[in-house]
Amino acid sequence: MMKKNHSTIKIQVRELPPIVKKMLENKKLMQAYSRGEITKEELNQRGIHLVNPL
Amino acid sequence: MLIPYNYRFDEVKQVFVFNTDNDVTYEIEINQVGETYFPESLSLHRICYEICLNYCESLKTKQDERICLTVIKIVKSLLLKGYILLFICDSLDKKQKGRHRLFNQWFTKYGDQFEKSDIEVEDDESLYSLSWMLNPKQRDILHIQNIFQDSINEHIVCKNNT
Repeated sequence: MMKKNHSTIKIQVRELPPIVKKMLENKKLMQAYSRGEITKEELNQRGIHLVNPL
Repeated sequence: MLIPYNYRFDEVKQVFVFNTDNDVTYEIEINQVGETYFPESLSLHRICYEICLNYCESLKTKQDERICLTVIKIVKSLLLKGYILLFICDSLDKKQKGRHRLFNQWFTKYGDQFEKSDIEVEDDESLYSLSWMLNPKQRDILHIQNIFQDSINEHIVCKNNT
């Protein structure tokens, strides 16, 4: 049973919203960084700044 | 009793790291995205992060509940500080539904103190599953929810709430 604190919206789009495109792009870059395929500097140049907020 | 793995923050690589009993290394990357994703919403600039879980798929073995416990522990620590977390499932290998389902199972088991909203976005090519999580004690929760929904609303052809 779905919990009250969990909701799902399903949407169809003609074109992906910019935020979704950017999240997918960031995901690919962060995965590439984790695999050692790109450097932290390259990651930073693409606008990704990894942090420890804790 | 199962307990989370010990994790640490790698200051050089700037990622959270933990190793499993099967010798698989997991990394959690946290990227501050409030200003990039919501430039007009100053209230989100300092509190909005996206989170990415990475591991070597070829080394992954049987299900390990301690991985879930460890990831959830880190996520909870962030949410308790009042941060909002965004997450998108990798879709390159078309296994995003399975990942989304697994993450939902984790949340259902251990995320009872927190609020999670999923958005499944489908275009002509694929289905993308993204989620955002926050602490329900967060101030202005309705305002924050509206900001997220506004960021996708103008692109919607068809919508279904569950």
